[in-house]
Amino acid sequence: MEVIDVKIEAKKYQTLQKRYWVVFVIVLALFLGALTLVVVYSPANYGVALWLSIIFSTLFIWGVLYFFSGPYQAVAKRSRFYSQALQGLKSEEEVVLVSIGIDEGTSKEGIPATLLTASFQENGKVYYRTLYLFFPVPALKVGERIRATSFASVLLSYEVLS
Amino acid sequence: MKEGRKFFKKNLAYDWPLYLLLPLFFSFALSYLFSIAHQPSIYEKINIFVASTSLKSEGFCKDIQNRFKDEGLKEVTTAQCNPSDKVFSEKLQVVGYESSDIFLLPRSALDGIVPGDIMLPFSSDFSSAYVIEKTPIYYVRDNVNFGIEIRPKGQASWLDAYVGFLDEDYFLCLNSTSKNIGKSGLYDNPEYDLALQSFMYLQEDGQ
Repeated sequence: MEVIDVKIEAKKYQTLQKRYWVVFVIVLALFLGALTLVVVYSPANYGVALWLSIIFSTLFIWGVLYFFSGPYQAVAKRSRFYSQALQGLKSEEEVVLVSIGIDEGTSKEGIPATLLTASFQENGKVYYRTLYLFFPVPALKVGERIRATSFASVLLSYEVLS
Repeated sequence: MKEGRKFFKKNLAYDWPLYLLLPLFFSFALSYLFSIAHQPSIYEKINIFVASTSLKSEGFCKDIQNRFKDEGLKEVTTAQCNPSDKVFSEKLQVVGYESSDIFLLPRSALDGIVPGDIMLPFSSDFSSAYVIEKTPIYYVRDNVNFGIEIRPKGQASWLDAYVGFLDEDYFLCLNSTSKNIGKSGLYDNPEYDLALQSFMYLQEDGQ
């Protein structure tokens, strides 16, 4: 069962990232154009125009900072992860699900994720392995034995063995 | 969107100085841009070089600026130097020749330079148009008039309120490279004549 279709997600987020850039460049150009017009065509007594420009510029700068530290970064991180996942080596292993976390603060590569704890046996010893889920998968149940395919510990797909 | 907000809240703890510093920096930049954009053009300002012991520049400039505000004069500046200073000649040639429109000089200062290098020669047409005095006294060199006497030695003038005159005859001259002397100088721009108007005003006893 596929949890993440890396090809689709990579394309989706790359397109979204490009779209964000285009929107940003257009808004920036419009803002700078408007500001230039205000500076050039403001009256000789330009005090009011200057203060209005400062107020609107401050709002614009705050908007840009919010955009790049919030929505854009969310998209850029996912885009980067999926691009790497597309090219990188995937790990495949048989594990037993020990617990499925609900901790909302967990993140992987900066992307919010759900924590999965799994165990596997090697030379008669039990080892624990941490996996991450970017999307909730209700079908996964504790105690299930699965063959998990992951990249950077993020579960991409699995096959239920028992 | 929800995820973006989470990222924003997380990053705000580190980025908050940017929210203060960038607008502050941008405000200074904007203020500078506005001041540059509204700087008077070369045709809207004049500079007067005054050779004197002292000069009440602010009052002198304001007097002229208020008189020609409606004609579009936005800025009047002065460059002042005492003729007894060692650097007088350099200042006259570097500051005065390069950026002054009008010169207010004593006879001794004019005697020390070659007026033909920079001063506007007064043709008869020019004199009839812009010299107010009916019997003017000119500063003459090689039979060419270069300046009009506005304060004879020992006599009072309305300019005494602003200028600390030396005990000499003072002449008013124009820079031939000024862009504010209409078509009288090197440039043929008859509509820009604020230096000529100020030149006439300075002869008018401040009336």
